[in-house]
Amino acid sequence: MLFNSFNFLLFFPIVTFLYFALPHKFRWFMLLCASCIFYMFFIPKYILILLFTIVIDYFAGILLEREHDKKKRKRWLILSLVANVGVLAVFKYYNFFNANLKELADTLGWNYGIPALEMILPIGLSFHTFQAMSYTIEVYRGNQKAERHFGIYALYVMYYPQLVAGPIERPQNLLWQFHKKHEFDYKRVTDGLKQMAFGLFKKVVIADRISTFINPVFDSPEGYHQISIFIACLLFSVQIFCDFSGYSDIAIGASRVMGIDLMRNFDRPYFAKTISEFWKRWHISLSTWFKDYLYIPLGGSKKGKFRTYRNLVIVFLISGLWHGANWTFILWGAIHALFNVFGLLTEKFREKLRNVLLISRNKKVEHLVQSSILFLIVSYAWIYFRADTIEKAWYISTKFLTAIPVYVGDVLNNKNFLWLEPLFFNRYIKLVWFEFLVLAASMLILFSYHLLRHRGKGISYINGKKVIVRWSIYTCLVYFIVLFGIYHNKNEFIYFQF
Amino acid sequence: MKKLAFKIGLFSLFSFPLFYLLSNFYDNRIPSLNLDKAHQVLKIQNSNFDNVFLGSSRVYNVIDVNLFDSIMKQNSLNLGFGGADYPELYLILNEFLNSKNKVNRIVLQVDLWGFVKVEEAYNHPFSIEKYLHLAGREIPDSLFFCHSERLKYWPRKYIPFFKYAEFNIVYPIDKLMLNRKNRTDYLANKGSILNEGNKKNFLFNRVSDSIIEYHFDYRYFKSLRKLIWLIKQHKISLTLFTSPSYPKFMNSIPLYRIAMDSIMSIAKEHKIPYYNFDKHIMCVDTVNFRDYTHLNTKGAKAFTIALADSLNN
Repeated sequence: MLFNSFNFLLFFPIVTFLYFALPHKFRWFMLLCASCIFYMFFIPKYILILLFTIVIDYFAGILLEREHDKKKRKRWLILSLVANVGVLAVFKYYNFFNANLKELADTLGWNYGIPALEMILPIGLSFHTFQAMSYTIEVYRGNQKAERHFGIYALYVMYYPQLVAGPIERPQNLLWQFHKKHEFDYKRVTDGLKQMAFGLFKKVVIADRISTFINPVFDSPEGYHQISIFIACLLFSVQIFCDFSGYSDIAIGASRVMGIDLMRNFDRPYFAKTISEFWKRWHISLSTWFKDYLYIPLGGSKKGKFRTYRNLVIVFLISGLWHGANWTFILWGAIHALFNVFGLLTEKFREKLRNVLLISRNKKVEHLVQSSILFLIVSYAWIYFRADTIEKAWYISTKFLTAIPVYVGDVLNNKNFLWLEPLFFNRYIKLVWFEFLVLAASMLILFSYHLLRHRGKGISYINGKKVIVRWSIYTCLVYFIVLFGIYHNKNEFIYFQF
Repeated sequence: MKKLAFKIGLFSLFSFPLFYLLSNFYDNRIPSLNLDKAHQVLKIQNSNFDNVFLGSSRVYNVIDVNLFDSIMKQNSLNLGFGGADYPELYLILNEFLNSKNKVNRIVLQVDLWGFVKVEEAYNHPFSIEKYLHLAGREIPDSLFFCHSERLKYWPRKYIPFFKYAEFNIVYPIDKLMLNRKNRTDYLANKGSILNEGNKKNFLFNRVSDSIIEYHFDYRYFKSLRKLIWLIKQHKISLTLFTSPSYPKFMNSIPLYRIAMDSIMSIAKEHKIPYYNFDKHIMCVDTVNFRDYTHLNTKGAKAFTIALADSLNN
């Protein structure tokens, strides 16, 4: 079930009402049933996959804790990790590797008879697999006690707000919260509802509206001027942020209503000044997962510069592969690896350059310049994330890089060039100006809120205003969602495909 | 919890009248915007027609009514709607006849696709968004209840503006407020639009369709009977026909024969003349088709002549 669907509009209040109406000892059971229903809205039989990994990891955790022999402990850990990664490998990566091996065999003239598997990727597989793996790893490391209550452990994996697209939680943060009794708290509940409303606003008003403009451009980029492609790429950066952070906001908000705090997943990533800072603000739950369970065990940045760069490349390539079984995602990961390594290599040079250009004299100007450049390079990388094939990604990325000089050249040199149309994706301006106005206004609201947070004022700043101001803001938000939300485009959340 | 419930109640109290007025405004404004052929058809009143051709795109795109009328020396209208299934045709015909339009004969297109589940065939799910402004009337409401998401039926009916908020993409607020009419005249050629199609893709269009396993949605048999009953109730002469399809494609579909036999038995049961053009000589050559189930311009003209000839006899 999608968060922006009518079914969820019914599901959420019923589940929340039951949560507070039931005695504490029955709440875990109700939440678990609700989470099962939530998951089974997609493909019901895939719940068996979840059950398989839950059973394995539950017993692995207990055995890990009981066992004192290091070798045996490692065996249980490996069993758990193999089960989880195995499920991921079969359902997500088998066909990808199989197709590539077949292509290689065909090139070499070999016979290759291993068939592809006909199956749909279970929703949220990458997310709950990583969450389950973090549990057994933390138990192994001694940072987390094994959960003895099977139902609570199952709920930890299947908890519906973050089941299909994160945040990827840690057992230290989440498990104990299911044992704690949560009372109805007016402020916490209203803050949760406000966060959900804001998440929905980002998703249905901004992200889905952007998709109506840019999907045709990414589907057939040859039919558009370079400047249209350039703008579409920039808008995709906004779309994917609003889509994914919108989902996270709804998940975190829904959980907060019930008194369960999930970790923050986004922290104004496009306000970052460097690529490494970007990755500390974007999909925080995943980047910290990779840092704690891959980057640091590989040596992190403590084993010399070469190893640091090597570790970064490995982490980003695997991160790319985690996002999707396609070479475009791996390439996207590789581009970010390159940016990170380049960033480290040129850190001092860039600082000197900012001093020479006098940018660093004014901190605000410096921040603006750095964030703008970062936004452009991240938008470039997103092309590979969004495009269906490498060929299309290459085409779009080359057009992206030369868009502005080509556009300026066309405006100056070609008297017959209709300079305004490409800015509106060749649409008849008289018909679409209002949609662009709504989009611009929505993005301004989003930017203003992020600017407030950047200055250390967030929801508490709004909560501190007079009641008429607060009600006006929340009423506008709800009315924007009702009047300008895009609902029947059947728009799933982008990160659902992972 | 009481404080929260109070605030939600207060907000609803303030918002409901606003959205109620907005919803009424939309109900009144939508018919004049001409956004769809159905909206234009529903504005026809007090008119007389010798023939009305009713069906999906296999009427809309394949019967040249101007040519037909020139042969028959009659006044006809093409009420074919792309992707329309029997419930939608029932709604349109009911509203059309209730607008005091007189029709001598209805020529209704029937085929396999009218009975197959919407997710498997080419008919669209009941296009409720076209008829939201008719909500509140008995027949549209009963069709909304039976043929669209049932869970949403009551919110659409009782929560002001819910139905339009759901379809913001079809009815953006600026279009309604600025009264931005669609300039397409769907009735320019008496409702017919012939389509040449993309011949280059013909042989590869829908090749995989022949291996799709289709299933009947038995509600559509009921809907067809209801449509026939409505026509008979208005004492209008009825003729059934099936537009030409490419036989090699149709014969590969297991349900095809069963569907054709069902149509024949319905026609016999109600004593309705039925013409199946699937076996017509024009079906032999792909030169008359733009895809396996639709004629191109040349084929449509040839078919129109053949249809006129059959109806004349």
